[in-house]
Amino acid sequence: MVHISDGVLSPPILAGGFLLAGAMILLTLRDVKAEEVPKISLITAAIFVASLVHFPVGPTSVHLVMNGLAGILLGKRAFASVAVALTLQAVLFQHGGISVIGVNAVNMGIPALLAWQIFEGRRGLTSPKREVVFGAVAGGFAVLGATLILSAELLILGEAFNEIAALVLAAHVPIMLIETAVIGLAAGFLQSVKPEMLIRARGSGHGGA
Amino acid sequence: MSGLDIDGHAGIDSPIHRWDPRAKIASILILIFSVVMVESISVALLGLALSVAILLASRLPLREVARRVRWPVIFLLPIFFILPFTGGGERTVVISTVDLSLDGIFLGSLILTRGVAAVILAYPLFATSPFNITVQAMRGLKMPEVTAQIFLFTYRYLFLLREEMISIEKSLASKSFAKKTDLRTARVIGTALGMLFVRSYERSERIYRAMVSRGYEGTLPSTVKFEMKGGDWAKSFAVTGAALMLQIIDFASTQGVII
Repeated sequence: MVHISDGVLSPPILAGGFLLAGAMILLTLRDVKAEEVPKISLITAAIFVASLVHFPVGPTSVHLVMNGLAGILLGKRAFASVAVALTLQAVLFQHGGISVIGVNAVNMGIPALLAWQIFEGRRGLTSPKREVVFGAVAGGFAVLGATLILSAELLILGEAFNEIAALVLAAHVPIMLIETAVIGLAAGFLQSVKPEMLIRARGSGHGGA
Repeated sequence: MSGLDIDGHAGIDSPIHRWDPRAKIASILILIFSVVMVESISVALLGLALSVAILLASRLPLREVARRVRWPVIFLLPIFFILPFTGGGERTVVISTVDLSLDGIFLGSLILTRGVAAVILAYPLFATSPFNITVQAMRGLKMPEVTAQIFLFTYRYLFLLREEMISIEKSLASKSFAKKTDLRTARVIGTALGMLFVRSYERSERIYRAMVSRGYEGTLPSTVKFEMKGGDWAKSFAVTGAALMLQIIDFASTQGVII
């Protein structure tokens, strides 16, 4: 539910979103090799499907965001992955909207890159729990980052949107906690089953490409 | 999962279906941007009417539209109901003891109308061509090759992985797993997702080798040739003209020339 819908934001924000998202996609896919394309696509599809999973919160349920998981699996390619997943969500389910694809890609894609950088922080540590801990922090911060950017965009619209921005922040607290737990545990699972899938910790001697 | 196949009704015959996909995408996108940018509620309603007209011309099933409009409306309704209390401004409407901001009511209605119009337009935009043709048309509109391929492959894999996820959920259910708000549920879901990712990763390696063995070197051959005919130009001029007209009327009405 981090996606903003059509019709809310102002034209400069919409245009800025497309420009920034386009530039980020070109930048992060510049040196992409043919063999990476199926892997990026499959993980994008997996993230899309994972984000359809509902998690109960008291009487209601929330669906997962998973931009943090994109970051820890794809590294810098995560931006394009998140952008494609969001476009497909807008096209197939109307989550978000066509005019806000750029904005939403920036809102979720930049935090996905942040998650990647946080996850890189595990290098040099030897604790067997490092993937769980850093995965959890990365997952939580990815949602927090996306929510903060969205709230800031709503605040730009004017004072009338202050309460709405606060509501958006509050609504995402449970999602943040759930993603922290789920992505931490998923990262731990992947580390013990298929460590080469996680983005390599540079200079640690663990994992593959 | 219903809804994954956006192009289930791509086989219908209608003026929108027959439109050159590149021109259709470019023109309707321009109209979407024009609609979400208008500032006057009456022009937004005109935009909504245009959206419905294009939808009707596409002959797509209308009950699908109701399902598609639901999500954005759920998202926009809180904004619609909060703004009358926070909108400020001089003008207010008093309902029993509550002061509602007239500016807030207008802004909320404007946002809701623009949002619904844009969502309605997105349906004929993407549902009137097979998905692969839409992506080919995007390539024709200068989308980079790699991005186009990621779209095509991702769309293809969505169906596979959805099946995979359903099978994982079935196997969890057969072991009496029920989701609750607790850490154990997080652990089970985290592991299930991990499993989905491992399976898809292994699959992606097999797929890549299979693709290479069939001659894949990083580009996909284009299978369709697009050609603009007289009717395509006419539809494109009509829709982009309507988009331009919305902006002109909107400008005029915000300048106080007309209401």
